[in-house]
Amino acid sequence: MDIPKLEIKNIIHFYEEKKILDINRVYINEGESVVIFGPNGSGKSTLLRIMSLIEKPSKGEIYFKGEKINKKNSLNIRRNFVLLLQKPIFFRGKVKDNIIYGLKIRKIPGKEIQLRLKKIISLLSLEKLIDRRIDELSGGEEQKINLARALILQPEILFLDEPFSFLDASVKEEVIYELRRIIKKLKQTTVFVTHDWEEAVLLGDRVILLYEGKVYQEGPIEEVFNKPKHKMLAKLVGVETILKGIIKNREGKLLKISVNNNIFQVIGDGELGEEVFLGIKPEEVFISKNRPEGSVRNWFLGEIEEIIPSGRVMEIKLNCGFPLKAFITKASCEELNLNIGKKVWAGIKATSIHVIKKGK
Amino acid sequence: MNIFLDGLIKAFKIIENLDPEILKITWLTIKVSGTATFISLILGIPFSLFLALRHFPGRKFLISMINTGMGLPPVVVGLFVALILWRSGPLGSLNLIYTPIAMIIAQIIIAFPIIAGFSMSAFQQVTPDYYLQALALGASRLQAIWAMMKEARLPALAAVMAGFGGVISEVGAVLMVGGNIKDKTRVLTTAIVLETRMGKFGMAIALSVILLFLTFSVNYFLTHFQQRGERRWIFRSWR
Repeated sequence: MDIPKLEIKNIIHFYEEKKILDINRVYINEGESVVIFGPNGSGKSTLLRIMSLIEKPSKGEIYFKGEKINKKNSLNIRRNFVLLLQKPIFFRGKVKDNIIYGLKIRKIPGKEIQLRLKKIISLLSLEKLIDRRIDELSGGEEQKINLARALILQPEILFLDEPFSFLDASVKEEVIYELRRIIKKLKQTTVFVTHDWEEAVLLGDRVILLYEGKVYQEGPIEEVFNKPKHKMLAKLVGVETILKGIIKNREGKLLKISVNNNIFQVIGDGELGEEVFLGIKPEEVFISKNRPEGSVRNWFLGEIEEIIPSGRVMEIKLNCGFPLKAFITKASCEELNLNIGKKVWAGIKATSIHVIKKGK
Repeated sequence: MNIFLDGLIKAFKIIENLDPEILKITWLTIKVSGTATFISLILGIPFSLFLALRHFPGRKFLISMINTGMGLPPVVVGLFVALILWRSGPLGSLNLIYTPIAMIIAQIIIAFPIIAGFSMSAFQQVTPDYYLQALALGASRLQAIWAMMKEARLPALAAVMAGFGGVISEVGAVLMVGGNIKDKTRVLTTAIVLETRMGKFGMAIALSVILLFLTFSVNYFLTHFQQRGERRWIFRSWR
């Protein structure tokens, strides 16, 4: 078995008297992009600070490439990492000074600094920003500079603490795609924290579910998000069905996407052969006894696996060859005489499916 | 009005002639208040960093002490230091009463809480955020503290100005522990008091002008560092 790049074991962490982390083991392999997913207050940021060696855990061991971290080697090993904070703080002065800050404190020679600066400017297209003052940047530009000052250090592991939470939706998307492009290009090992499933799907290969300081589940994204092991986790990850598929056909904006050999017709962008994730909100799913005629393009026959009262509606879990969740009212549930094991048709409009591109 | 005019004219003559006595007094003033401010700074900055960044039992009590100290009446400090350094006092054997060192000690007690108190709130304002950010980019603990201190320089230099301004203008404590001895412990403030009492207004005004000029120069110099590169101004609103 390969030694993981970073491994933490038996971590227990207290703040004052309160235990906030209790983790058996978390590991990060070379080149992977791992998401730590959990609600506010689950200990995500603390875990990230501990993994990036910024905060010392109350108890437990940390290994980097098999080497145990101690007081002596911690600074040198920590300098292989960079943590991007939720709300970046910049030091007074120019953009350039901020970008090279990390190199300066590592006492990297001036020539090397200039070389790396050039590279990072072209990688992130910073030509126009580099000589600006730090207080003249917009929110999106700040994130770019934040990323630049991290990547210029060529970190072995890049840690990100909800780096997009302070951006508005339009800029956010752009920054996320940009980040993904770079992570893929550099084959950057990345660990990031989020409570947004879309970000998780876009950026992560593997997800670690954190709740009240404990790791409850861990694995590939679609597995963890669709089959949470606990009811509490189901609430946490949201009710959306998330499916992984491949684009098989494209006619203009209409895509045909295969999910376990079931074809979905979806409106969206993408190239043939591209891997995508589909997000389906349960309130957008129709349930019918027979397959009706009409404009709805996607109909799947599925078996009811569970019926859960969920507030004023009933949540129906179907197995259509893939998992699918639907919300219907209590009245319809009774009218359709739904019960576990019964086969029904589930319909989803092509426009109701959210396509998240994952890249080839 | 005549007293004032006469005084002013005399004052300028005295300054113009660069009276050696005045030079001596001015130099001693700079030495005593400068040293006291410098030592308060050396003690006050680490102490305020500690207060600002660490949680420990008794922290609030210490902060209240500092805050009280910021408004300490100089005469009380003078009395306290005089009692300790008095020939029959606990440190009387050191023979420090009526020496510049005694004056420096008294001024440190006045300046230290001012500098520590102001810089503590300065460091709390720039907050541990800067510390964390520096660590996140690979700074060592010392480098992170340095980064934070650089960001706090605006309010921290205000602390220095307040501390220096507090001691250079103070008269009660230096008079009590220094004794205003000619050529030995006479500083600008005590000299002004003496000259005024003797009705030598020209000399008093000359000394005052020098004192004001001194404080202004030091503050101008510090302000220069403080405001360098500072560009956070408020925009103009309608009304």
